[in-house]
Amino acid sequence: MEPGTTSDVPGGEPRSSVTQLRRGVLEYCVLALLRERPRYGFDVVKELSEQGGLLTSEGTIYPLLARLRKDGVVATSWQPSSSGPPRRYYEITPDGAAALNHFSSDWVRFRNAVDRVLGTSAGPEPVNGPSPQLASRTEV
Amino acid sequence: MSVTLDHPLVADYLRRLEFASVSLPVQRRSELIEEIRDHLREALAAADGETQVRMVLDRLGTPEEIVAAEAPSREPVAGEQVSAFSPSGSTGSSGPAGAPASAPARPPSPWGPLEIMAVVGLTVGFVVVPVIGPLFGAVCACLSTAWTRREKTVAVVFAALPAVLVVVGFLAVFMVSTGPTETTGAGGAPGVERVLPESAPSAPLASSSAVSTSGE
Repeated sequence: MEPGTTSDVPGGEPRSSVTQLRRGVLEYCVLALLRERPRYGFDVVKELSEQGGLLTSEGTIYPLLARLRKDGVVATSWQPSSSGPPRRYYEITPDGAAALNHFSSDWVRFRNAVDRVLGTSAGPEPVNGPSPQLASRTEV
Repeated sequence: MSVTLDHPLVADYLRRLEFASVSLPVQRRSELIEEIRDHLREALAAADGETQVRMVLDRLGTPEEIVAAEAPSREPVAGEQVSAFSPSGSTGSSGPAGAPASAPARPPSPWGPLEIMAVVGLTVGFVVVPVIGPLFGAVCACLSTAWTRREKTVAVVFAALPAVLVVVGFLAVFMVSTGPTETTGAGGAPGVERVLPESAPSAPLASSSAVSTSGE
C-alpha cells in the first residue's frame, strides 16, 4: 500500500500531489482541532503529528496559525502554564466555526466524488491509513 | 536529562532562523521566533542526546521553509485561502484576476545603437549642440524598441525640460527688464518671476540628472 509518497522526511519531501492537497486541507484540520478546545501551538503540532502524513515541517504550523488569526478564524490569548512561562492559546472564532462547517460538507462531497472516480470508495477493505479518523472527526 | 536552547545545534538553528526571517515584519518576526523557541523548549524537554536533538530540528523543518510559509499572509494567494474565509477576509475581493496576468517577461533590453545615440544626444548633445542634440536624442529614444514607454517619456521630458527652462528664463528676464512699471502680465508675471531664480541653477541640474537617469 503506498498512498502517494507521503514521506515524513522533512526537507526530502517530494513535490507530490499530496503536498498540494495537504496544503489546502491543513488549515481546516487545525480549525477542527481548535473546535474541540483551545490549544497552544505545540499542542496543535503534537496532535497533527500523531495523525501522520498531515504535517511534514512542524514549524510551518506557526505561520499557518498566524494566518488564521489574521483571517479572523482563530483568536489568541495568553494562559498561564503549569510548567513555565504563559502560553499563547489559540481558539476558534464563530467565523472559524462557520468556515469549518462549510468546508466539512464540501469535503464530504469532494471526497466521495474522488473516491467514486478512483474506485477507492469504502469497499470490502475499510479505507486505509490515518485519514479516515480525521475525516470522521471533521464530519462530526 | 533535557536539552536546552543553548545546545550548539539548537543555537545554530535559532541563528539561522533569525537570519532567514529578516524579511518579515518586525513584530511578526519576533513572534515567530518566540513561538519556535517555545516549540523547541517543549520538544527538547524530552530529548536526550544529539540524535534526538537532530530529530526534533528535522521535524521542525528548515528555517527557510518556515519563513517561506509566512509568505501567503503578506501576499494573499489569489482567491485561495483568503476567499475561503470570505465572511471575514477583507482581502478576498482582490480576486485571482490580477495575479495570472503576469506579462511575458521582457527580454533583458540590449543596448543597441539607437539607445546609445539617445543617451549621447541627451547628455553630451545638450552641451555640444544645444537644441539639436537633445532633440536628436529624444527622437532616438522614441524609436528605440528596447525601452519602455515610460523610459521614453523620461527621455523626452529631460530633453525638453532645459529648453523650456531656458525659454521661460529668457521670457522672465525680458519681462523684468522691460517693464517693472507696466504689469501687463497680471497673472503670469509674478509666477514667471518666481521661476527665474530657480531656472538658472536647475538647468544644469536637469541635464546632469538626465545623465544619471539615462545612464542607468
